[in-house]
Amino acid sequence: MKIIHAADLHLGSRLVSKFPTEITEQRRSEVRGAFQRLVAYAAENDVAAILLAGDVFDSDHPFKKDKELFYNVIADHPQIQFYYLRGNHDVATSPDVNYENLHYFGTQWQSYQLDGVTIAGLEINEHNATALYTTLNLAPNATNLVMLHGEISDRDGNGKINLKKLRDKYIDYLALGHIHKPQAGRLDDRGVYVYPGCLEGRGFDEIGEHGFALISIENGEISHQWVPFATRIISEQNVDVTGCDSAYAVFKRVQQQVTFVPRNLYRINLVGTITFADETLALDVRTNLQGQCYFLDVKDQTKHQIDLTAYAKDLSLRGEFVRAVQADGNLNESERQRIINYGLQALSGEQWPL
Amino acid sequence: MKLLSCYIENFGKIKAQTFNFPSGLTSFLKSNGEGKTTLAVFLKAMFYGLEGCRKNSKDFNDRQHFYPFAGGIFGGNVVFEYHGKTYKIERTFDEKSETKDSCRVYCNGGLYTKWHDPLGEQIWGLDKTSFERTIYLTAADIELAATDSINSKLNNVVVGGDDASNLTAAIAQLQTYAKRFKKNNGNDLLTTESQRVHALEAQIANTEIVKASLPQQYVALQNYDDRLTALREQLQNVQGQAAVVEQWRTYDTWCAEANQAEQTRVKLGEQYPQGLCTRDELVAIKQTATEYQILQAQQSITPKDKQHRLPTATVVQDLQSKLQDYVALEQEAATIPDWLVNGTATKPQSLRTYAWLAAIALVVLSAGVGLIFLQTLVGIIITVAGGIGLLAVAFGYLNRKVNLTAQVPNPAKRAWQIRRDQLVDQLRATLVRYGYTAEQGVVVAITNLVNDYQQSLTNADLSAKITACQKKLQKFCTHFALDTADYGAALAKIERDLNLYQQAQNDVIRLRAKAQQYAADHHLTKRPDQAVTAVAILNDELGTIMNERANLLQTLTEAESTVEKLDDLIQERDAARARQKEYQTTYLLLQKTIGYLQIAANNLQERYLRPIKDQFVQYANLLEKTIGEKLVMNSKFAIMYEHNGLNRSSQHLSAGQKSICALCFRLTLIDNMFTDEKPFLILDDPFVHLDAEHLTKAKSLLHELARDKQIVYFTCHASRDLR
Repeated sequence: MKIIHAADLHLGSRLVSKFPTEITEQRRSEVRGAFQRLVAYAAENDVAAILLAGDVFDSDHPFKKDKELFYNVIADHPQIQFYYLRGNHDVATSPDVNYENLHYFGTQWQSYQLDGVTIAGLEINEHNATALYTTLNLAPNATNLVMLHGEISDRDGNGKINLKKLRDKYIDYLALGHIHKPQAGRLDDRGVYVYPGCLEGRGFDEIGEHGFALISIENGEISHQWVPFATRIISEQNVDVTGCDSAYAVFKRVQQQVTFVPRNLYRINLVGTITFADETLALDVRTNLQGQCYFLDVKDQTKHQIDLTAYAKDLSLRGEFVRAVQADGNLNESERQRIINYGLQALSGEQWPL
Repeated sequence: MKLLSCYIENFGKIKAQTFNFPSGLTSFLKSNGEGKTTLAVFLKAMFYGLEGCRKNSKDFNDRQHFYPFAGGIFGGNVVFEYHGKTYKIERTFDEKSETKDSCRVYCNGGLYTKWHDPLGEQIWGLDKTSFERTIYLTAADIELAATDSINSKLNNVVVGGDDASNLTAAIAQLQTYAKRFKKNNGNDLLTTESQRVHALEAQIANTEIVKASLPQQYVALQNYDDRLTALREQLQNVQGQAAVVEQWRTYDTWCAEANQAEQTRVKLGEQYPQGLCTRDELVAIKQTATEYQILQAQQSITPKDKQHRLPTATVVQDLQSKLQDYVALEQEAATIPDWLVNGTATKPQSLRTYAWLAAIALVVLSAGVGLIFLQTLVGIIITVAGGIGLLAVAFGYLNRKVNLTAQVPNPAKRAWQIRRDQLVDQLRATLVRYGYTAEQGVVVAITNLVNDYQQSLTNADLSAKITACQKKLQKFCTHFALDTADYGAALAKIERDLNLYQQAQNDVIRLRAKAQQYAADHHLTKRPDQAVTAVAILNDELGTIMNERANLLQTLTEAESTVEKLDDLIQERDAARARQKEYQTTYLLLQKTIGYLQIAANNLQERYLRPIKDQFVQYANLLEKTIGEKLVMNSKFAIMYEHNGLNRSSQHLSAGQKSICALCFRLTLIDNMFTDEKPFLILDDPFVHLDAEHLTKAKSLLHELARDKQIVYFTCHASRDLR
């Protein structure tokens, strides 16, 4: 039997990073459509059940269209059992839709049987955060899947999952939700805990691969594998451009160090020290790399290196200017750099960017 | 740098003249209009060219001024030493356009292409204006302030290089750039961004309001759904009730139809006080009617034109008996041969006899068959007789022998013939009595007679039967009060009525049974107490609620679409604020940059240009002796003089004093600007304003200065001649 463990769909969620309008619209659609794709995958691969370990919706009052999407997809797949555990974002969403293949949980342990497998879950709140560990009763000789939503911790508490207290409770698979980055580990000699992460990254603070866990249960033996499932991968990468003497050199450095995949999103941070001043460096690099990926953001985090000692004995206006700026202790380093760049550029007669 | 000579081809009034410039002081005494200024302008033009004539300009510039009236090549050359090399600049000028001017530079005799116009800037790093103010001094051009290029040149004194630094240009560029961020008229990035933030905040506020309305709308939607559910239930109940009513209506309809049928039955029954006949009776009477018709038809086809007396039954029997005898005789004839051959009887050879006999037998047979319908017994007898006769003929024919021997008439045959003839006579006599002739033979005649007799019997029977039928019909119709004039119509009517009656009877039974079954099947035990609530009213309400729900749903969908963008708006607003802040920071930094540049310029002037002031002091000391005032120079190179302990502007000096100050100022600048090679100095009668005393001092000053400088001095008056 195959079971999908997913979490943190956050249907209706905003994108956490700022994108151009057309990309925002498409990404929002892709995030919303991830659940549909997941269920389609389940249907194609004879998956018996889908565990949704919290935060299906992004708020307690989700949009009607998000609710309709969610429930209609479930209704269209009566052959798949859905186990919906609410999380901290959608804890107050009322379970007002009843389908035979949709199962809810509450603030007390609720168990379901699926072909000999026990699926238990509980929605943590301040009232059960400690008691939940003592009220969990599982059969030792059954295959036990337990669903919780929260952050693993050494302590009890609302939104916290004390892994130590869940050991030796005959848990074969602890299906968790809340952390958007996939991670897993051993719970005890018998079982494992898994965060599948969210299905789609919503911005540059959710970088990397996203997907779900696919649990296989055969002859009482349980195993799992993580399945990457995101439509696009979001990446952030630093590129050290120290030594580059022009915007073009920076662009070439980025091209050498970054491998772009057309369907993905990238943020490139230009770091290091450069000797030339260019207010539009990030823009220029982004423009030159346009088209190589779905979305590219470039941040100029370089430091401008000016050999101020060369101006120490410069008796010209330039030297005098640099010394005057250096002498002002009220400026911070960034301001100092910028003023010097402005002044030298102006004195050199260079064309200012439009 | 040292002027060596110049050659004027044509420039103003000067034509084809060479001027040599030795070291030190060179003085030219020329009357007005003789070309002092021309020469001075020429020298300037060699190094800086001439400004072109502008079509719409009213200014009378040097090109126009010094264009040679006599024509010829407008130009010349100048030779000078610079950095140890001898250079020659050759120029020609167009009358109007500087684009048509030519310029060549030679260095040590070879064409030199590294310099380009303006050559003076290449050589001295000064623009034309600065050249005029440093190297070229006239009485009219007394300008004591420094120019930008003078400052930059002074700057160069420090670095020893050729630098295009231009504080004013730099500041102008910074200010231009800064104006992108902030402008007085508001058409700048900060204002734009501020407006964008403002607009976004308004949008966000509106969207927040929309968002706040969502829960209420969800509740309203739920209320509509609840109301719809209740209405639908109510409608279902009402429709259920309507169904019951409809069922009762169906039941009542059938009952009504049953009653209707009952009425029909009763009404029909009333038409027949004696009651209707039974089906069997009707069938019987119809048979009677049919029989009656048939009989009547038979009677109608019975021939009546026969003018014969009908025999009695005895006569008929007698005839029939005799006929049998006749037939037997005829049959016997077949057994009696007509001829005897040696006493052996032979059968007759002719077949005609057999044929005749067969025909007769057939006739008898036919007659008998016909009589069966009329008089069965007699008919059967005759038929049998005919059949026997036919068989006998056939037997005789099959067993005939043809005897070819000698034949004699058979006396038995004769006797037979006699008997036959006698019989025939008897038969004929009887037939005649009843009007029958034996033209076609006695058999036929007898048959006809018998047939007629039988027919008469039949007719009589027919009549009797017809009468009987009539009686029956009459009786029937009378009994059932029918029209006796037309039995057919009467029977048809009673049949119709009977059918209707029975139909009605059946309908009553059927409909009542149906109604009862229906009532049982649908459990119609009690009629609804009240009239059914109009389904239409409920449907209307349902439709109204659904419309309102649909409207709310659309509003909700639009609201959700709007609210969905709230976070984007907030992000956009935050980004706009960040940009705003960045623009503000950039603007401030640019302003600070300008400030620092100005500070740097001041510092530079203060720190590095002090020598100029110091140098000026030296000249000022000389000047004090000359003009009697103590001169000072401030950091901006503005010259002032002390008077009664206060610094006064140099504008208060007399023109003569200003001339001398200007000269010393220029000399100070040159000393500090040109640390490498000092340029020459052109003085175009600068001391016109000096009195004799000051002039003398000025002359002495010039001689002093010319020791290490090349000074070209022009004057138009001998009193001011320095030679």
